[in-house]
Amino acid sequence: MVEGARGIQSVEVSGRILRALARSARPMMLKDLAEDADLKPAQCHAYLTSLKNVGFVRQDWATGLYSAGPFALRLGVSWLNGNPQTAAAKLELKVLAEDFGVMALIVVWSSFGPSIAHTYAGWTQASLNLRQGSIFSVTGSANGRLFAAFGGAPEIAPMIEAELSRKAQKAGIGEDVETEDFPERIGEIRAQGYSVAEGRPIPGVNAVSVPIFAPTGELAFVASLIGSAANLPVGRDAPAVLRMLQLGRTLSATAADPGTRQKESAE
Amino acid sequence: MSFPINKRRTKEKKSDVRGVQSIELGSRLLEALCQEAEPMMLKDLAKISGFAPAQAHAYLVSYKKIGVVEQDAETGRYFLGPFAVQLGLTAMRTMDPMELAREAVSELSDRTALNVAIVVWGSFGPTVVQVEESGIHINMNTRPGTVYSMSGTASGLVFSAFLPEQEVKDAMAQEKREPAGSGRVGTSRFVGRREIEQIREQGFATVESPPVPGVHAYSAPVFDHSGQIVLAITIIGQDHFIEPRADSEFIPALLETTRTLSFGLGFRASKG
Repeated sequence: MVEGARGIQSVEVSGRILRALARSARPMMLKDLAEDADLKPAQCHAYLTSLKNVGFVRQDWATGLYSAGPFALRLGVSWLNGNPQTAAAKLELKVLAEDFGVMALIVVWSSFGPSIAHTYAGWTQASLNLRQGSIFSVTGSANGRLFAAFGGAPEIAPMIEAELSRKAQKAGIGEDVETEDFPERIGEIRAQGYSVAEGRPIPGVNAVSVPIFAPTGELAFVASLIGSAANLPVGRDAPAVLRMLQLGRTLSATAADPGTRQKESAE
Repeated sequence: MSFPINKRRTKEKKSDVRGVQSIELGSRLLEALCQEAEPMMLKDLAKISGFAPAQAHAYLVSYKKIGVVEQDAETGRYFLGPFAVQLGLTAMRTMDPMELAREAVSELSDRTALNVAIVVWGSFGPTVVQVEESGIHINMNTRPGTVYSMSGTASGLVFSAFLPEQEVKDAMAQEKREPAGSGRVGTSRFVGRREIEQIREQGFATVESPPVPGVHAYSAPVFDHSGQIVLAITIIGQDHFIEPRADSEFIPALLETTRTLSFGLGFRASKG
């Protein structure tokens, strides 16, 4: 930082508390939060009071446990709406979901694995139980395999290893995958630039996923369609596959063109 | 915990009682970034959130450090960073809309002394998943598992007004094909475009001729952050109790509950 300006220390301390919450799979007790954030419980409590007032955290009235609150949700949603690539993806996926009668997803990487950040159920509302925050398997889902093929996060490799060795508690949604052909499968995905699921892990349900790359060339997120095999054939020349590939190319190119952001905001 | 200067230490001590003021102040900057959806210049960001630019800058330095804010290297503009989406995912993972809804309807039932139902979209249409009974009103035809008519019940009309049109058409057609005695509550009838538009505008629905004579219901939608309907909340009571106070008291209480719940799920009514 050139200006080397002083920050606000208590904001940075609050960041430690929020990070501790983000690392936890479940609501937390004050003393555990304090320990993870390296604070004394009384001090942590003061921070939590303010974080609660703002809506960063919520406290369950019955258990007293802390979890991320509505303002945390709002920050995530605002990021989805404000980021030019995710904002464009949301609009285009809505059209595709309605054209094919399937569900659309935006999946991003979190420390727990590939996580659903956005769903558009279209008119398939009642059929699939996928919701924001749900986590996919890295090896056993079309979404996850794209992170295996293109992702850069340091947690990916150990997660693949754990899943393939069946040591992982199966937290994510996905099928069991054989170790032997996994590298080959990832190679194919890299070559073809998309990944599909056919009838697995859910019989009769297919999915097609494409990677969206950030301006830096890193994998930014994954866009997916998921729906009944009847509505969503996923062969090489299937309309949904071709249109998703097109969407992936357009969105990744949008990011690569530095003029686009200004152009879009001028419209 | 050591702080660089004594002054700050005393400030932090005081805050043990009333929280940490700078967290509450600083969140105004994040709120502004959420609202604008565009990368912002320091001076605009400071102005909107009521800070002097230098003060805003100090906050932004720290927000950048924790990753919730990013700064464009070329333009110098600020926008939400990768930790914002991680926080959002954390909330999505641990937040259970049904649990929040259960809390809300229990409060609403206590406050109004009415029966309150949570209705979700199921494979066969609007489906009751929970009924909070006030104990005063007998409600013979609403229980978990009850499937409502799309057009002949208040709850059904809410889904008819706020689900995608194709899904509504399919569901109404399916309902019309059902034989008599299918067990669905409410009688299918024609619903005009004007009625649907009115429901969208006023934000709640009711029916003139309810399925059970003498019992009236009002229903309102709960939305998630993407603007999709998650569930409907329906208040049900006997005419002599609910009707005199419906407009003045019960409908406002219902709407307050559904709006608070939608807000908690990240919903923001679209601007303009």
